[in-house]
Amino acid sequence: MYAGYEWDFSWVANEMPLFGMAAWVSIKILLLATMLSLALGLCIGQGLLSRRWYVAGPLRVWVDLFRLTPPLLQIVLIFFLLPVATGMRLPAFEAGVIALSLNYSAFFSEIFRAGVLSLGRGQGEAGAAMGMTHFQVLKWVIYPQAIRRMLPPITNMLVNLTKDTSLLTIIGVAELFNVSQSVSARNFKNVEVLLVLAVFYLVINIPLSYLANRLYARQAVRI
Amino acid sequence: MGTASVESPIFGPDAAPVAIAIEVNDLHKNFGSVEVLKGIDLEIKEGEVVVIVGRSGSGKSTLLRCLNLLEQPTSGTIRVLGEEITSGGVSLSRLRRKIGMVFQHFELFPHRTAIENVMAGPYIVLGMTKIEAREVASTLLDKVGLSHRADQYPNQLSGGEKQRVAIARALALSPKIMLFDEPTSSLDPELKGEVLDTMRELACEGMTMVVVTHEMIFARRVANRAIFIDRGVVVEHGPPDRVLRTPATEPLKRFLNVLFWGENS
Repeated sequence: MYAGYEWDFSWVANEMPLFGMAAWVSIKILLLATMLSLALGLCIGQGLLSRRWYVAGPLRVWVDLFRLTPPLLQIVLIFFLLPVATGMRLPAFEAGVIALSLNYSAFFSEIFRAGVLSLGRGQGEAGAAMGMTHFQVLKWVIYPQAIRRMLPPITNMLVNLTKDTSLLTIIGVAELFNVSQSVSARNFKNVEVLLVLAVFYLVINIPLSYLANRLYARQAVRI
Repeated sequence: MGTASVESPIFGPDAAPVAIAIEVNDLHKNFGSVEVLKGIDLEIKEGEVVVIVGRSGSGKSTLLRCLNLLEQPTSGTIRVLGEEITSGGVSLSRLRRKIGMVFQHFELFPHRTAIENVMAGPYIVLGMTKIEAREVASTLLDKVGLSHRADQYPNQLSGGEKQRVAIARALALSPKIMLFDEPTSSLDPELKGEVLDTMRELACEGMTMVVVTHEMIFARRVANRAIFIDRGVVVEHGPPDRVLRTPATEPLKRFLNVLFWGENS
């Protein structure tokens, strides 16, 4: 290792409370955005499957808008430019959560759509041929099966979402990445601070990623 | 084999008039610009067992799927048990409780056990309690000889067992008519027998059955009538023994030849 650099982690104990608070903010962003984006993604995904062009068409445009532009751009746009355009001002935390939720709901809607389509027509027809209504078919036949196929990619997206919470630093939300910047500025230990920061993300994501792998493996056995 | 009608639930032409179960008039079905059914007329009496044969792509499955409106006919009328179902405003759920359907690929719900599959109709569609539904289901599983498999999941069952569960599942709604869409086509030869036996028992009990199949022995022994469809029209129909042993038309002769030589039609 290069000998000229002196590693110094003595500041860690002092800054831990601050890191802990920031970690809680990051986790709050993660949880809220997860719930919002999953709920929204479920609705949009079902809409994308509609045979009515005036439902599926606009939703397709909406989804692609969020899927194909950088999330960083969406965050900045919603926090800085939405107030300019509409006069409606959102606090940074809320604006960030909404931007991430919209972005991830676009991806989740594709996962839900693909999960339903992956079942093929036969299962739905079997339910319909028994006299089930469309809603009963979704509730009893399609989703209980599709959810198993959706869970692994959803968990993978949550790993991404954990990392993407750091993007909210750009609008000044005091989450982990943002706070780490002030900690480095105070202690002049930029490299060490970033390494500690990495540990925080790993602590959240290693279990999530393990879960995703487990779900994929279980799926390979079951189907 | 003789020509006597075996195990026929119909008592002969001079018995009391039998009610009409299904009446199809000038049925057309297009998929986009392709006309799959080109004017089908068909009358099926209650208690009758009708087999529909034909090459793949001839329209036989489409005809069957029109009968419970899994496919919406393009034009023409269908009456089921006296009620016109093609006029619009028909309750699909009510219609389909009267018509059970069995599919080529079983389509059991893989996340549910055998008995839960059979319970689905009574519980979800008929609104029975779980206890009542379970009772109905176990009676029917017993009927198809699978009580001992009640708590197995579909992927633990053989193909023949799956299809018998599927038959029990359809029967759980107490339908008046049963539709079979190539029920043995995806089964290994040694597993077809158990499914065909179950179907024969059902026929003996007087169930009205419409069966799309390539099983010629079943057709000749169990069915009252065979219908040969080619390119969307009924080319021949009549007693299975006559239609399938002494075909009158060139397309049916060719079809039976292909079937006899075991080629994939």
